[in-house]
Amino acid sequence: MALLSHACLGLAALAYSAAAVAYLWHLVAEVPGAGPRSPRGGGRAAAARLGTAGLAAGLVLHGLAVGALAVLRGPVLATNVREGLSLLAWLMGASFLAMDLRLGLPILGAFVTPLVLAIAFPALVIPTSDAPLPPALHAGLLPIHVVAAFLGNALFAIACGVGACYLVQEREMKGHARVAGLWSKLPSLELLDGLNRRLVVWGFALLSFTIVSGSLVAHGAWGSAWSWEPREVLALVTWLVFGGLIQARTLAGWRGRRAALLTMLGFALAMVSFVGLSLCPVDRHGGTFR
Amino acid sequence: MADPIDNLVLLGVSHRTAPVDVRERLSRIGEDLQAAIRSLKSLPGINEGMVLSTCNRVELYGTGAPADRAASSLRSFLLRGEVVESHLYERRGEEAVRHLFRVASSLDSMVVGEPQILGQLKEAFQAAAQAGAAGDCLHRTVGRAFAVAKRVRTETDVGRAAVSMSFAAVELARKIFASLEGKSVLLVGAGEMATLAARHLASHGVRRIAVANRTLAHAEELREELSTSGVSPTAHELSELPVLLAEVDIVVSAVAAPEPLIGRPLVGKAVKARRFRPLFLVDLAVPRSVDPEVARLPNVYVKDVDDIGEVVAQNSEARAQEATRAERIVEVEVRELARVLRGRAAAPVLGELRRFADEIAQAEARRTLQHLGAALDDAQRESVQAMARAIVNKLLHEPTTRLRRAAELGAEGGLADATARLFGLGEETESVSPHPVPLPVVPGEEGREAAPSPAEQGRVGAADPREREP
Repeated sequence: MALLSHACLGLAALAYSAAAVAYLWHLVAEVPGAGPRSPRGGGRAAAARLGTAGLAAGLVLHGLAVGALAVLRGPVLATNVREGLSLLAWLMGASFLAMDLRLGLPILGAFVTPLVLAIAFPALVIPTSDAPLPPALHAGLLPIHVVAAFLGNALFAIACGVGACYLVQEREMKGHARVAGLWSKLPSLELLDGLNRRLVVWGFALLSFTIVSGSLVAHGAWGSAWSWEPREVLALVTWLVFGGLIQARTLAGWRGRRAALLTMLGFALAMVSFVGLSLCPVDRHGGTFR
Repeated sequence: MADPIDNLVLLGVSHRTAPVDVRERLSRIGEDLQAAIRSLKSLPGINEGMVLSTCNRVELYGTGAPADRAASSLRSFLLRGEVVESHLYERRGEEAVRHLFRVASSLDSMVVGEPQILGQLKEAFQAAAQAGAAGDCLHRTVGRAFAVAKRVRTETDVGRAAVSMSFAAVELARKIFASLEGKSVLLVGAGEMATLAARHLASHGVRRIAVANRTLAHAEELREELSTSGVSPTAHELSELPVLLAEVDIVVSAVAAPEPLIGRPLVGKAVKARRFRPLFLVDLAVPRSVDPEVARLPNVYVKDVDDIGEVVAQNSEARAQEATRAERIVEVEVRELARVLRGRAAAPVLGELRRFADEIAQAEARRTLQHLGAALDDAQRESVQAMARAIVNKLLHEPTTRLRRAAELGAEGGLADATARLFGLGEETESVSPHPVPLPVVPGEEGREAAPSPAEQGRVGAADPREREP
């Protein structure tokens, strides 16, 4: 079962690579009309469809991998850093696909799918240890705590991709207009900024829930809800960064470039708290995420 | 033989043939389209009519037989104004269809690819339909024109390619704002460039346009002019710039000044007051009226004349290619519509033939059933009738196809005439028709109910011969 899961993940990574290449082609391909092309958008539109198809195929395979693990190991979907990365990549890809189907912004795929791949790939190569969960952690809330944590991070990751797109588009709009520039292909700044705001708000809500449910689990398992261990502190700092961003948006009218950069900082913190601390087990989380 | 496409006549005056003052006077026709269409329709020799009136063109479309009479009626209608012969252009038949398709696809527009023309054509057609002046030919032709415009829009990028500076400015603005709907605009300067830009922005749903000018009187003039375009314009003096800059989203500056009029400190203060909402400044002036340093402020974007020119050049290059492809689409569609409309010319004879055969078959079936009387049950009676219908269908299938194909190929009415004479269709019709018309124009009262053959129903829909002749 573990082998099957690993094989599925490998195939999924291949599909993600194809999707990333297709989306990047969609980004750099000549704008229809600026050169010879076949009717109805030609290669550029086809690349976008190919990207979406590749992403969807990868998600199905990846879903099998995650599902197989759940069957094998129970409902806590990420008991080590490898499974965690895998789960994060899957949730990120799925959220982006849902967003793309709703809003129709395949151009963002060029910014998001490479990130999905970058997160999924380490999950393929990091050696795994199948250490079982400590019995103390068999609490009902734990699976929800884990999914909320990773879904929140997935949304922050997408917000990061959107923020990168914003920074590129802003550089285009700040500079002199160039023939066949990227600007004509990318969405408007206002749209990208609005998307960032929504993603961050949802991610923040999930992060808050993660922290609360985490302390409930800790309270049940060890009797203390909060113990100032490094991961908890970093989670709190991340929470403050995103909370501050939302606050600054509402109160001070912060937006655009600053919001995009802060989003990236926040996501970097979240990743450090997840990957960094999982690799050097110094706390109770580390004890489980070996 | 009624051949609607050859009876279609177009007479027009446009930006290509007449100066703006002539077009302005003519555009009064558009103020009451219904009345214009009614008086158009009352002219001798006109069966159907439509009036397309925009600021760049007035075009009359009409059908009538003979086409010469219809054309001279249209001519007299247009020449009533101060128009002279040299401002007019006339197209007939396929040429008229081609022109309409090009107009609808915005290939004949002053700004190629601008989207408003389609809405104006829709209005024109609705008015014609409401006035009862749109018959079969106009329905088909204009309906097809909408489809062609849509094809051109989706299959080429003519519509996307902007041409003028204001188009380019709008295109750039749409990369900053998700939509221009509800945004407010400040025009600095009240010259021609500013006016053009304002018009254009107004057509994109901008909510408010403020005009600031050195001379307030000129700003007032432009405000007056803009008040008809659906935005709420206001006029200001240049001293109000600090306040205005804090309020608006887009600034179009076209005021020539030796020193930049809009400097970094001025905009810097505005940025704080507007809480970092994005501000887009389009500087159309030479020398520049917006200090380039302004672009360093957060969420402030500045494009100067060269940037805009770059976008215009990029677009017109792309547009030339796209326009060629659009013209090809128009050409294919004109030929297809001509074929369909010519095929329709055979419809009256086909209907007659069908009715004639159906009557005989039904009469014979009825007679047979009377003879056999009670010997048959319901199912058997039904199968006798079905047999009669089947014989008619099989017998008429080949002649129907051939008649229609002959008509589509544009062959003169020979085959249809021969059919009418061979089956004696004319004599029968004439005996009941209130109009002593020669065949095969319009069947009489009963002819209106004549059902087209199944094949024909699939192809042309429910045809009403009344629409073809008065």
